[in-house]
Amino acid sequence: MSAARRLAVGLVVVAALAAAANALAAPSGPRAPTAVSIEGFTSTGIKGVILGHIESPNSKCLDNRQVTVTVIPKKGSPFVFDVARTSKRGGWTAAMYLDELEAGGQIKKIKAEVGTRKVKLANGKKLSCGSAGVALKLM
Amino acid sequence: MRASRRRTGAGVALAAAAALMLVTAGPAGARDVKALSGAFYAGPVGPDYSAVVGVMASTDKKCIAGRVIKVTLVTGSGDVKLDTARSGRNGGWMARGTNDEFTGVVAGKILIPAKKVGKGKSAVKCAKVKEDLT
Repeated sequence: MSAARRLAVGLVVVAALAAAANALAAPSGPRAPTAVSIEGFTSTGIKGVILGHIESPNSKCLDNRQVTVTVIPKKGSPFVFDVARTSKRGGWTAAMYLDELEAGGQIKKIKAEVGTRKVKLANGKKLSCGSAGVALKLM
Repeated sequence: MRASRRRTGAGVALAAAAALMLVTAGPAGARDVKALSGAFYAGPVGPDYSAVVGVMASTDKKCIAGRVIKVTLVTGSGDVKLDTARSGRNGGWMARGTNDEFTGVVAGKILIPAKKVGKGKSAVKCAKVKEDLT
């Protein structure tokens, strides 16, 4: 057997073992989707504030989710506005100093993204809360 | 003899003062940092929901992020727990409920439990916050 063939067989075996280990380690649990929305903008006078919430058919997916809010300016590179955390009922608020926000130039779009999260259930299984994203185009 | 007794007495007083300082200061290196909830809005957010919104403020940035904010609404018929919010990296938080839950509300209460951030000499003890909203 050539060295290349041995390597290929080895890689297939490693991949199969990894898949098997993964299947054993994470018993398939229930899944619930997540939706994220931006509700409005306001200001404290010092900080610009973006308000929003997440929704899910499973209330266990609402609490303590990380929401990354990104600003896409008309010119220049996108930048992170804030990384917010959701309440038990899904509410979140992102904030950024107004002078820092103004330094980024005119805003074209605002994106809010929430990542996946696994929540351990009483029966030992893990509830998989899906990721979601929304983009708001500013005129 | 008298001088030595006096010295012993002073020593006891110093030891007692040092012990008292240790008790009040807490673990070595930890320092108390105050914070404010920064609640600035209570009202509708969208057609069906209302919220209490704030941006945490503190002299130490470590005491702004990752705080738990418990919001209670005060009505004529008693207190109602609204939501438990969590502050984001820049201190923003929102406690949310239905419009019906905000009907007849006369005031609000905010409780933010104390939190220790970091370890050893760089540890920061973020003090408990208790505020009344009127």
